[in-house]
Amino acid sequence: MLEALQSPFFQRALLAGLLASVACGIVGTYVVVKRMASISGGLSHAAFGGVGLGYLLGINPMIGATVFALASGFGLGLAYRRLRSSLDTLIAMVWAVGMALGILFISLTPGYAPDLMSYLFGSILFVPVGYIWWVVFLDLIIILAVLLLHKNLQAVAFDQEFAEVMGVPVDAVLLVLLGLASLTVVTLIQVVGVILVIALLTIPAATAQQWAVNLRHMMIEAVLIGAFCTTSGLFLSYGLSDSYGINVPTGPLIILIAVALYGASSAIHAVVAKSPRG
Amino acid sequence: MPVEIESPVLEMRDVSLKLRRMPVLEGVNLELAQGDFLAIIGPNGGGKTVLLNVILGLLTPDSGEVKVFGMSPKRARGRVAYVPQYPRFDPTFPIRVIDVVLMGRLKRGLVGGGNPEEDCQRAHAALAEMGMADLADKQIGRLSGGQLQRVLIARALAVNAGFLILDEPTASLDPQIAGDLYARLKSSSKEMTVIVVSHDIWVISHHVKTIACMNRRLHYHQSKEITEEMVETTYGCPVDFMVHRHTHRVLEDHHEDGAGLEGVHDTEPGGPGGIQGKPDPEGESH
Repeated sequence: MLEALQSPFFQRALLAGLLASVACGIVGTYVVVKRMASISGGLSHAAFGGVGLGYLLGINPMIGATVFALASGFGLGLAYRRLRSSLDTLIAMVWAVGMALGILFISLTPGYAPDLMSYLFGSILFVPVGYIWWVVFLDLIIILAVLLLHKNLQAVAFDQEFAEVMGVPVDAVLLVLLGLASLTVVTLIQVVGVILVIALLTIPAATAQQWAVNLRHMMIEAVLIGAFCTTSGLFLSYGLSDSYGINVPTGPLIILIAVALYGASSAIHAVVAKSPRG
Repeated sequence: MPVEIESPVLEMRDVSLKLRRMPVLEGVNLELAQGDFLAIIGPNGGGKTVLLNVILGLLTPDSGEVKVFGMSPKRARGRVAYVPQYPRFDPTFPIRVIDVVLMGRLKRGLVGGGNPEEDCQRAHAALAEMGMADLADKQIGRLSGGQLQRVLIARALAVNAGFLILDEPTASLDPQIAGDLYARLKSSSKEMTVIVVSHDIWVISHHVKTIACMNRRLHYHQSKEITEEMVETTYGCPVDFMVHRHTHRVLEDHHEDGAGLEGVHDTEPGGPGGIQGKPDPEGESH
């Protein structure tokens, strides 16, 4: 198993997974406590429209994905404040329209789109070197934003109305949050693919929430849980392929490990909460 | 915080607002000077929460003028503290009591600012005033309803604002805890101007200076007396037997200080169903 570490592919995948866990844990924490999971799901599927457009125009599909995710993130952010009641339906539409556009654009693209599956289910084992630098850059942006804006991000997530009454520019804070969520979603597409992004963004944070006393702890725990899931998912898929000749994509394994961890954490949490000292 | 003597804390002139084409506020006039302590009562759906939201700048009226400290409500933000109706947030949110109170120290602007040491000191002082000093590091999810409500009041006190607005701060509490809470609030807010919306008429009548009745229109005569006319136009219902029982209970509970209740007793405002109902559903809808 350890000889895997000598493969440059594997090393790069490991590094990418760890770096992505940082973005995912921090942004996922806000997404979970602000209950924006469905918005994130909408963003990732909207991003698929951008992937399709990238193919059609012959540019890097991730550029298209970034533009689509940011645009829908800002759009949903504005709608979030103004259309509370119909927001749910709107997210579902953005979700479906993103997929529809993606499929349409790809079908219009001449020739065959060979790595389409990698956008749907992730391809962490084949990350380009440039991706590593992109995630480093994203992590730095996220950490900087949190250092500067954490008080306001926390206040808007906790009690938006009170934050507004205090003079916090709620619209701007929400747009920052959705901007970060959009960029994170696009980044995670490489790791687990469009369809599973919502799970990697929310499950480690939701697991962390069961134990955290404040948002800072929740972020640290979510980052560690995400790092554990991506790393063990990588080793598991390598081991299955190496020892049994079973080739499975890593993304779904990562998600299943995350869900198993969440289940175990919930069970332990329920027992601890019932015990008198809990 | 310096307050210009010439501009009243709150000035509302002929304020009207429709929500979903239903009139919610009609020609509301209200003026408060520094140190006023006004209670607003009225039936559910009578527009009490909407009125507060207009004062806070969360809703913009269709017509009329609202001035807070002589400014538009949005510009006055940060000078008005607010206690929302419980519960507004997720009790599983991972946050400690002190961090909630520190939200009363938030500054205007995207990045904020402030002096962390001073903010921390004020937040702890506000918690201590509400008798919650030893719970500063507790998880908010582990507080009782009464404790949580006191935390929210401490958060508003931490703002150190000249104007405090409370929306049903005791809706979920039993009368004794509610009375204790108002007593603490009264002693902590001597210099402040306060508006409180409440159903607990017998509890607040001890502590407030004036009472207004609200049902789309605001009936306010700058006194604590609730006239029969106010009750009729506000609640529009005859007084029933239940009121007598409640009124008597009030007088028994508080006979040592019954003077302030005369208005209540003489005029028997509405049925308890109207006065002590569930939190205003309309307040959640914006």
